[in-house]
Order: sequence, then structure tokens, then C-alpha cells
Amino acid sequence: MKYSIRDIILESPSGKGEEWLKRQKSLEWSYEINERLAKDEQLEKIFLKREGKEKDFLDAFLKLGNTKALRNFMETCMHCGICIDKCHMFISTGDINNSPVGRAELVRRIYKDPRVKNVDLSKIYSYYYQCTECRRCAVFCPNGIDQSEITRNVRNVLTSMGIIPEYVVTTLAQVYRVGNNLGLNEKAIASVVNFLEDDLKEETGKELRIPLNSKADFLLIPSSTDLFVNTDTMKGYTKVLNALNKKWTISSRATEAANFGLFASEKYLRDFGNFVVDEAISLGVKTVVWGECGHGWRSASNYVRYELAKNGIELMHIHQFTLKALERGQLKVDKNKNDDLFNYHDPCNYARGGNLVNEPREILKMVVRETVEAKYTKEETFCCGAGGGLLADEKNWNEFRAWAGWPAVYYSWKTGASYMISPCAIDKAQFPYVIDYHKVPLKMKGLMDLVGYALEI
Amino acid sequence: MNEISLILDAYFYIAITVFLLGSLYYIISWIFSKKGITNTYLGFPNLFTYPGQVSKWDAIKNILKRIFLFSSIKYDKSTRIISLLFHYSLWIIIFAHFDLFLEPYLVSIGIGIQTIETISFFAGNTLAIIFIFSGLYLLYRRLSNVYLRKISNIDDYLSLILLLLFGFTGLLMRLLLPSFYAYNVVGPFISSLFSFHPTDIPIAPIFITHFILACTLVIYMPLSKLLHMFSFFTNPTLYSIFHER
Repeated sequence: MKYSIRDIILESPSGKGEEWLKRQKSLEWSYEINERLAKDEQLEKIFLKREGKEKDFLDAFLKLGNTKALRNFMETCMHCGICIDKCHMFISTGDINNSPVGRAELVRRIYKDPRVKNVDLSKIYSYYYQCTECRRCAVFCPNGIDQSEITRNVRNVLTSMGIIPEYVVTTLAQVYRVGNNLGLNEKAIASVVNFLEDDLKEETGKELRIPLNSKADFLLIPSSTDLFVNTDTMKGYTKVLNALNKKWTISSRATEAANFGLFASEKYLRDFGNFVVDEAISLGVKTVVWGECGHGWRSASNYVRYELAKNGIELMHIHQFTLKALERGQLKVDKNKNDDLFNYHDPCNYARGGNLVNEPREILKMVVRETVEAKYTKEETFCCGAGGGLLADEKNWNEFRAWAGWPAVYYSWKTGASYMISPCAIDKAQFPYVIDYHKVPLKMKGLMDLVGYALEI
Repeated sequence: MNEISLILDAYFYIAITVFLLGSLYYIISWIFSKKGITNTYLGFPNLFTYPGQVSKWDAIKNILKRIFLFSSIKYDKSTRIISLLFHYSLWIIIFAHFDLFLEPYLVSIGIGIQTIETISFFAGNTLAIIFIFSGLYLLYRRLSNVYLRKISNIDDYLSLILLLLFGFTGLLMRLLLPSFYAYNVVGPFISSLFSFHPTDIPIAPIFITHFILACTLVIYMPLSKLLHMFSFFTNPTLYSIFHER
């Protein structure tokens, strides 16, 4: 039996498809590839130690297994196999344990049979850090079983035992140290802001300020990569907020829309969310505006929103904010500045966890000449292949994630668009790499970049 | 009452009890177990915000579409059609068994016995054949796909085989026993079981086999994957909108 959707592997213009298929010798092989485990001294920075054996995993997992979601997911799967070829990880690897049901089976066997004494933790680590928590399986599962939630539970246990990739740990540690994933301190942020302001002056001929740590009505939470790598996105935010004459600011202590806590453990998720809440309170803002980041928006709209509300502060996404202004005619845009064919790619966590599907589309239609939809859109969108903390730039890992991202890029490429638009910080790091690896004639941009180009100020 | 009757009647009551208690146990545990230590799903008050699913009615529509149209299997067309046939024929057959008790009523409102039995004969047999063939396809699907075989366990095969045997013996009953037997002998016996005044079981080997299989299936239900029929409204990803923080 062959899953026809896997044929897209051979269609990669890179010509590396055959070689990649050759590596897939058995039904279980991909656990050989994984992100590097964190070292002891790295673990200390996020208050962890590597401790615990297989038995501790079993005990901890069974304890978690008593909770509402896990109970349901462990007990109601009927092994229909519908989810198998819906998972981008399975499509690219052909490894059964890399499909939602196969991954769940690794722990379901423990759950269903408490007599199990032995468990291969290295295998569980590998496969549970090959899940991007994108939740596409939950959309297609007849019962709605959400593998991402099982993954979060298992990772919670693994994290408490110190079994966690180096990439995720270093990122978490940076947030504790300075408040953002890239490790930019106040001085670095201030100099980036100056640089961007100069750049904007050159570009527009106007003095557009990026206020830093000032009292304001709006606190913008950009992704730290928007300041450093995807600067066009940051310029887009700046142009919009200045064009509207809002009293706004960014904060050097909470310059991170992302929340890697979602990928590791509840404790970090809450801590990082609270950093933003504390900052919003101390700056006296009325509204927190969230920047472009998929999983960051999921954790913001599901956690930070409620914590802010306790203090009378509102949470908004920059797209909701921009769309409102566009609809009211407060922003003047010229579509002709983005004269090309654009395909909007839904970041998984907007579409399947953040209820942000229509706003970005409407903005895109207002700022570009022509748009096109891919075969799988909205809640059916494919994951970029690097969510869930799988974005490590490691020799062993890079080829894997290039293929994990292939389904998303493939369907975007097939629309005939010249630009793939994805307003997500992880996508902005992953897609250009995947596009380059597969030698696809596509360019990748964030949505606020385009708003910035089209805006007339 | 003869010994066989005593044993089989007892088996029937045990089966119903196991089914009711078992199913209730699972449904209650799914509804009432805690979200997590912090009363969230690892930090989140809700699990799933389906795009566009803003009202509770949207969530209910989504769940009903999943249950009755198998809407989530839309990209696996043959599986969707055949499993729809499988499930619908099974449920229609199960509910059509009520004609065994309803016959006197139907006759009293002026429908001829002949009409009832003819409809029942043709519709019943057609549905049973659809059920058996779609079930066999599902079995074939499971066996022919190397990935599916890998994740399948005994329960997956046993559930399907039990259901198929159940359907097959039902079909045989219809073909081997005269139709009055079902209405005049089996019907009253089943009624007697449900009214807690059990009578002797009709001695027809094929009926007894069908009866034993039915009871076994009913016992097996809460212990197996057949539980999935209760899970839709208790799955936190599907009904998350009903959670308030």
C-alpha cells in the first residue's frame, strides 16, 4: 500500500527525492535522526537536572494520564489510520511512528497496560521531538484526537526529567536571561532600534520613531527575530503604528512574541506569558499588540489574554489591529506596490489554535494585486516542519527539517504564486531554508512586510 | 425453565449490566476528570479554537457533521463511503429489530403482516449484505495496508470480526428460519427479557448463536475501541468552546 500524497517527494526540483526515499528502509527508521540533547550545564540555566529512569517516566505519564484530555485521547482511538497521511512528518519520512497514531501508540501501550515495565526513552524522545504540535491530525481525526496535546503531555514529563533538546533549552534560557529568544539585551535592542529608524528615514524620508520602554497606550510585542532578521516586518509594524499616530512602545524586557514554553513545559509557558503581563502593567498600557508569531499567538490568545484581562488590559493581534484601521480608511495603501501573485500560507497555530484565519487574508487582499489559495488552506494547512521547537540548525537535523517542510512549500509552489506569505516567525526562518534546499522558484515574506511596502505615509 | 435458558438469560442480563456500567464509567470519567493540576490543559483553559467556530452552535454542527457525515474523512473518499455504509447499515439493522415488538402495533394501525414481513425481508437482507461486504472491505483495508497493520492490535480485528459474525448469523437466521418464527417466537422472547420475566429461549441453533454473539458484543463494547461512539461529545478538542475559563 502506498500513500499517493508521498509522491510529492519525487517532485522536488532539487532531485534529492530518490535519495531521501532510499534512506527510508523500514517502517521505523527516523528515530536515528534527532535534535541534540541538552548538556547538564545548559539544563541548569532553566532550573533542570537530568534525572530519572524509565520507571519515573512511566509513573509520571500514568499520573498525567488521569487528566481529561489524555484519558479521552488514549481510550477512544479506533486505529482507523485516517490521520497517517495527514501528518507532514509521515509524508516526508514514511515512518509509522512519525504519524499521529503511531506516535500516540508509543505511549498508549503504556497507558493501556500498566504492567509495562520497560520503555525505550530514547525512542520516545526522538519521536516526540519530531512532532511539530501543528494539530493537523486533530482536524482530520474522526474523533478529534489531538496528538499535539499528547505530545505536550509527554514533553512535560520528558522536560521534568531533563530530556530536552539543546536548541529548546538554550532558547528558554535566553528568555530567562534577557526576555527574548535571540538573547538581545537592552543595549543591543536600543542600537537595533536606532539602526531601523535611520533605515526608515532613508526609505520614507520621514522621522518614524520606534519608542523603547516608554509609557504608552499600546505595547507591541514583536518576535525578537523581527528586530534582527526579518526587519521588514518590524518596519511594517512601525509604519502602521506611526501612520495611526498611536502612543506605542516596545519593551526591552519583553521583546518576544514566541513562547517556547509551549514546546517544553507548562511552567515555562506561564513564566514567559507572565513576563509580558508584568511589563504591560509596569508600562501602564491599555492594549498589548501581538506581533507575527504562530505558536506565540496561540499561547498569547489562550493564556496571556486572560492574565491581561485580570488587569483590565486588552490583547490584540497586529493583524486585527491593522485590519480595523484599513477598514476605517485610516491607512492609505497602494496595491500596485506589491504587483505580483501572492499565496497566503496559514501558520498552523493561527488556523488551528488561534482563530486567526480571515483577518490576514483580508489584509492581504487590500495590499497586493492578486492572491491565490493553495489546495490545503485554513484549518487544513500544512505545517512548516519546524514548529514545536524543531528549528535547530544542526548538521544532522537540517536535511530532516528540509523534508518536513516540503509538503507546505510544495502546495504553495503549485499555486503558481511568486510569493508565499506567512506571518509566523518560525515560518520565516524555516521556509526560506526549505525553498532553497528544494530549489523552488518561490520567495517568502511576512504579511506586515507587504503592508509596510504598500503603505503611503 | 431449562438450563440452557437459565444460562443464556443470565448472560443477557450480565451483558446489559456490563455495558451500562462500563459505558457510564467511561463517559463519566471523560466528563468529570480534571483538566490538569492547574485546572487547565497544561496552561490553556481551552484546547481547540477551530477557525470560524465562534458560537456553541458551530461546535455542535461540527460534531454532528463528524458523527453523521464523517466529514473529517473527506480526503479518503472510498473509506468514507464504505465506512458510512458500514455504520449506517449496522445502526439501521439494530433499530429495525424493533419491528419484532412493534408488529402487533403496526398491524393495529392497518399495515398488513404480509407488507411488514416483505419489507423487513428485503430491506433486512440488503442491509445485512451491505454491512457484511463493507465490513469485509474494512478488514481488507486494515490487512492490506502495511502501516495500518503495524498499528492494529487484537482489539481492532476482534471488534470487526465479532461485528461481522453478528451480521452474518443475523442474515443466516433470516434465510434459514421461517419469517413467522422471528415474530411469533423470537420477538416475544426478547420482549420477555426486557420486561424482566424471561421465558425459555427458542431452541434454534442459529438464533442461539446470534443471541450469544449479540450479548458478547454488548459486553465487549465498553472494553474495546467500540467505545468511540460515545467519545464525540466528551472530546475536549471538539467541544472546547463550551469550557469557560
